[in-house]
Amino acid sequence: MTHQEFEALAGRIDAKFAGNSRALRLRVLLWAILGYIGLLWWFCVVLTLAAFMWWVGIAAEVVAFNVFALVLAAWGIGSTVSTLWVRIAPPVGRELRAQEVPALFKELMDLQQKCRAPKVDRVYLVPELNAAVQEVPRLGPLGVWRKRLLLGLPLLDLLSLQELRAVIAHELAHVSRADARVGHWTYRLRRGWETFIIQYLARPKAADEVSLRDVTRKFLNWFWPRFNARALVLCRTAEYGADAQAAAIAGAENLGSALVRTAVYSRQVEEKFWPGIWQEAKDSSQPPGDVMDRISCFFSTGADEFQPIFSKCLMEVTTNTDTHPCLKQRLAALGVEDILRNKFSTLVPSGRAAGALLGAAQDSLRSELSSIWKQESSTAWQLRHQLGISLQHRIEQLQEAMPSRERDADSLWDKAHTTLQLHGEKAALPLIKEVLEAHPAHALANFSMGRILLSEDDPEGEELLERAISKDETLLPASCDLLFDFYRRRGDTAQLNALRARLDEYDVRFEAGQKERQSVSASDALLPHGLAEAELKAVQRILGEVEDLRGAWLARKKLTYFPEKKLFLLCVEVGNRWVLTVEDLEQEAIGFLLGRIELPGQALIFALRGEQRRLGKKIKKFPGSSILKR
Amino acid sequence: MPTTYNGIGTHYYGKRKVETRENTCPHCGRESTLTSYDTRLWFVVLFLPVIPLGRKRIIDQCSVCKYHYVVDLQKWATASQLEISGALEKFRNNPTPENAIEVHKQLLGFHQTVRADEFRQKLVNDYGTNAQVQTYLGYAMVHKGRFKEARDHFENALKTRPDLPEARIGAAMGRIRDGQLDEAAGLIDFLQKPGAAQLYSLEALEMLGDAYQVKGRHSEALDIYQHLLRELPHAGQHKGFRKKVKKSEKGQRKPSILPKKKFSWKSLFQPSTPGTPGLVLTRKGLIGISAVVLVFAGIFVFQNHHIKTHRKVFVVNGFAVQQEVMVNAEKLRVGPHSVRALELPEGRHEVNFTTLKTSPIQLEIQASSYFGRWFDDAVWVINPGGTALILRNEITYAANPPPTRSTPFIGESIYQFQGITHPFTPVPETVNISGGGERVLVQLDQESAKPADLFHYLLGQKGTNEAIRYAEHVLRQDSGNLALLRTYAEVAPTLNPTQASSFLAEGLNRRPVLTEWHREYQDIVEQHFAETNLVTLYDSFLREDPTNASLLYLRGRIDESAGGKRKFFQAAVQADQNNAFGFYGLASTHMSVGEWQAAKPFLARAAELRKEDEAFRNIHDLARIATENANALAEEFRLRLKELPADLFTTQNLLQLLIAANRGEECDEVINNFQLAMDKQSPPEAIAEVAAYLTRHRLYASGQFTELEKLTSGNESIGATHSRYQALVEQGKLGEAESVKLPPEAKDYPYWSLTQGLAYHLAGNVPQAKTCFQRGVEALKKGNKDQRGAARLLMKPLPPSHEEFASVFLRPAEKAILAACIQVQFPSAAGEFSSLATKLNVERTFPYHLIRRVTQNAR
Repeated sequence: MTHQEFEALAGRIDAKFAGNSRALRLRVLLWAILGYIGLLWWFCVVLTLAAFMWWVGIAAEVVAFNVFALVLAAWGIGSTVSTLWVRIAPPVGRELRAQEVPALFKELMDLQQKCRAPKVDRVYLVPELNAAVQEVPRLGPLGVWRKRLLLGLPLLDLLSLQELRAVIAHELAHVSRADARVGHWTYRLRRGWETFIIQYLARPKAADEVSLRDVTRKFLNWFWPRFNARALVLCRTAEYGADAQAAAIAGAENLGSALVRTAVYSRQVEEKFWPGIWQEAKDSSQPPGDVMDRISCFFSTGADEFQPIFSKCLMEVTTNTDTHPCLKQRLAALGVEDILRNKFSTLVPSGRAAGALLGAAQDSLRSELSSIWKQESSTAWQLRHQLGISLQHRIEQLQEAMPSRERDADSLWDKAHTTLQLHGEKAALPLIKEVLEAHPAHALANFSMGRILLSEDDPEGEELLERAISKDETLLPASCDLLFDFYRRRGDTAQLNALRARLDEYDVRFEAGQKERQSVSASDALLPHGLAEAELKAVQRILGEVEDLRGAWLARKKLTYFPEKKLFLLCVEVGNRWVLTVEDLEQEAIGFLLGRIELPGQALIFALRGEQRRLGKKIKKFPGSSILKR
Repeated sequence: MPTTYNGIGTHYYGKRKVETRENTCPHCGRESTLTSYDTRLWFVVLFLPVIPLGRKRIIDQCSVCKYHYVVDLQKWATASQLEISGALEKFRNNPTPENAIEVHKQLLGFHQTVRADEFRQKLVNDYGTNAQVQTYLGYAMVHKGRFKEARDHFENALKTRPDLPEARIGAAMGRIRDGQLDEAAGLIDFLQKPGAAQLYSLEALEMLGDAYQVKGRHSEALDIYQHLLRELPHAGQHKGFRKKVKKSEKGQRKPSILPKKKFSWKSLFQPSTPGTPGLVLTRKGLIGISAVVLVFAGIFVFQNHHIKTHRKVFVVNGFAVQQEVMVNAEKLRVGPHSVRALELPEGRHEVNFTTLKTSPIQLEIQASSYFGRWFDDAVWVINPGGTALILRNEITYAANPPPTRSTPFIGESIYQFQGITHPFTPVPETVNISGGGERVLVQLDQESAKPADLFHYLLGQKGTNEAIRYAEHVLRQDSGNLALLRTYAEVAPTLNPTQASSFLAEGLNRRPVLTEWHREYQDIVEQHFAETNLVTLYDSFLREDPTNASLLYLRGRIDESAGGKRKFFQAAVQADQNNAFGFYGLASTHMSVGEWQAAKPFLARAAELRKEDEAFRNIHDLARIATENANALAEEFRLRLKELPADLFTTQNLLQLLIAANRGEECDEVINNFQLAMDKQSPPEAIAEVAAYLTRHRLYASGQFTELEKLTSGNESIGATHSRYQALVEQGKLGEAESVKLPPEAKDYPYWSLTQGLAYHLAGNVPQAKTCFQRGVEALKKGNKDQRGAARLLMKPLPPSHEEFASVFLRPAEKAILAACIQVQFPSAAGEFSSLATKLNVERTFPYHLIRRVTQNAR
């Protein structure tokens, strides 16, 4: 399915099920069942085969059949279990108990009652700027759900008590609507397919291999976008539903205010706070132990950047690949967009909910959570630290090797790229500019520069990316991703649609074009060779050097994709036509010609009486194809 | 890979455009020569190419393991030209180092070595100072196994870019191959920095470590291995890597740098050679498997159809006469007690029992399921009249096998059996069983014994009810089976006289009259029912058919008076001069008063008319023994025994004739001859038993009671016990005789009590004699009409008249006992009855001698 088709399908589903989330949910569940059938049907075939072998073994009293059946069944069951086995890891965080944070649990009880949500089994304090609910079945496919509420300590630091209540109400609304369950099954299905792809579909295909993998792959390509389109619409619908319920309980303004703060600071945290923290890895071998304190302090800074970022957040649009609607649409749905625009003309201090809800345990919990984060990230931190050492050594080597000589493009780019990896964009920017000054067409430098500019919402990046693509077409998908994100942030739907069309065209042309050029046959349509007089003469001259050549015919394969890249078909007749054993002569002549003839495109030289004789006859009959005759 | 079996299969023939290179085989992992060439695949017979299967390009065939890749030559050649020309065109339009590298890659990839070398030269000229191009060319030459040229390219690259990691690695690997390890270590020092694995492949470092190990520089090797372990922790679980580390650690007194090996079940199932894709199904493999499956499926389908159209059907004849059976329109004759096999297709078939003249029946032959045909071992059995006894025997072969389990089937005309391994064929004596297991074979067998014997078999195996059911079933089909009829009449009334009489009553209206059948019926009714309407019944029969000789005879049998009986018997004989029973009836009126001479001609006639019935001949023989010269008769019997040497009755009679003629010394020879005659057909135990019986008979007949007692002493068989009892009674040892353990039913026999009474009488123990007579009378009262008549005679206050005595029809020996008892009870008539007893006492079997003494005393 192309990007445009996906977009259209999602639009149709959105329109069809507007206001009828129950029907949409049912439809998603049916699709999920189809997905499980697609995933497991061949296991059923294996098990049926095993049962048949077992029956044969019993009936024929041949134990070998029974043993074979058992092995087959064990393999089938083992494969099924390994495919469906999805381990839901417990959240990385600190489980909270009612005794240590009574205020939080009191609020929680109150909200559960108001939301008519079932009791949450466990509450975790996590290090993310987020809140979420998880519903995990205790008995796997049999259900018996365990509900977890995940509250990010940064969120408690960022939001006021009223705002946080609205956020928790939103999450509990998801629980009461059982949205998380649908999400869980979707997640399991996705993981099952991922396992299946890794174990079976992604395995390299042996030459001449016959398997059902192609069929399964086709099914997957057909199923997944259709399922995703429905599931993502359902996700967004669920968000609106939960927002409405939360707004009714905690107030629309509070919820809107929470959404604004979270959106703005999420961007800040992702772009500034965490990169800053991880930059420390190049100097320190251990992660910091006070990251939760630091993030709390981080929220106290950057008040002057709040308003511009808020404005940018409001420019973002929702695409059909998003699980959550954009901020603007959510605020509009809550009916508080204008109020909040006025309210947040400057940053309004929130009065932090952490103190109110965590009480005396706040400091110890913050410290514990910092330790948990430190422990969890230590492996990645170590790797990053070691990488820093290697990168630093590489930079030193580069400087040592050519301290004074004029640098070539490769070494310049090596240094810029290494610096980018080690010190980040800001440090690498002058070096990339240096590469571009020396070599303005350098594809990777253009791409990197374009990426940096787009991340700063600078439209100049577009041009650089286009330059990179024109130099190296393989950069197109990655460039399109960057452009897509850029246009989405700017709310430029027209450009988004154009980009989808471009990606679709590229996919189709690239794949089909490659396929079209992989083979030639007598069924191909032909075109006149179209060579200029001089080009033709050059070819004829080389052909004339072949002693036993009786005739030569030249044409072009008619191509649908990239027709400007021509494919020439040169058919030669070698040796006496009444002599059967001319194969050696033909091979010799073709070998001679291959190294010499230069045609403006791809070329296939073959013998008239060889295995492509049908194509040869067709070219021979094609008007104007004869270029030599003896 | 082409394969041949005994010279038949596929094989490559011919090699063109051969290219070789020295490198590591991706399959076996060994350094070897990898050869690529064009060839043709042939189907070969005795390695002679027969059918060409296409031209192929063989790629990188390992000189050690022969593993290689193969592609269709035409596709290869086309792809080669298109890809190379495409890359060249791109390079011509945009002559960048990257595009130049791409062209060279294509040329190498499609084995265009000459053109690749020409192009390489162009690259050296055009991009001699481009480190990236030179590095690429270095690796390309390494790939082709041309290490010297590779080294030159790497050195060129390093001259331009001494910092370039790829060039340093390539140059280092060259130096490692040349043994310049320290130089190599200097070139790849950056690989030993922390985090290097995130930027570069550490293959060169491992190669250096291995080279250090080969040179015995284990300390340096271990430093490298330790760094590799830090960078790539999972290497610590790799078998090959662990082996290398352990080798270098040998002799070092430091703790191992290796982590603890983790156990993983998955590792047991991973392919031994890394990089191999494991088991995959290829198109050719699929075609091959499909062909094999199709062939087997075809065989299975054909076999299934064959089974469907050739179902095993057996016709089993349980009759003593040949049976004719029509299956569809086909006529089959099946011999007596034999089996005939035929094959019929599945479906509905009409079966007609022509001989039995019963209604046709439908035989439905149907498989349990399509697949069931292969495994059901189904057999259909047609059993005309349901008379054959079919046994389903489950025979277990094992070290300690359980007894064979037999299930009898009888009474139905059609049977279907499943799981029969040996239908009407013998099972093997032994079968091979591996590992102490067991094997069960299932056999169908027809029990070929005579129905009377089968009746006894069923009596023992399945109980009285089943045996009676069988007998009634057979008798309905085969009412002339006298042996079975007599056996049935003996057993059935003891269980349920009403049922037995009802069953026999079913045959009374059959015509021609089944005389034996009627006789058994009359006997059962007279013995078990106080009130009978037999006379009325037979009178009614006679009203319908007044001249029926059999009915006249039968009517005579049940008449109360001797005169009446004689009248009916005479009428029967007059009605039919060939009616043996009529003559027998007339003879019996004489025999009942010991008039052997008068009875003899009638008996002779009856025996003549019913030669097949031994009973008539035997009674005739008795009459002759009573009336003729013993010596002459003995010789006649000897002659008969030459013809029928195993004739027990004649042998027995001959013995008593020889004794009567004082030629007792010849008896042993007679007994020996009989034994010899039996040898041919009977088991030794049976012969010994019969010989013992004849010896006992001889001893009793000759009055050698002491010897008889001695002979039987300690022998607890039924025959020996009886003979010991008889010997003791004859010797007057009544107390000892009482202690002999006889079967309980023997004492219910009325003549046993009467004989005992006679013995006590002779011994002078009158009260005990009376008690025994009384017991005998009570037993007689429970018997048939004649026995009840005998009881009445003994109970009378006055001696019975001759007419009354004559009207009681008993066997001569029984009648002799009755006469002796009357003689003892009524001394006033002792003369007449002792005379009658003497006349009737012909058979020299117990109580022959006792009666003789009783009658002698009377005289």
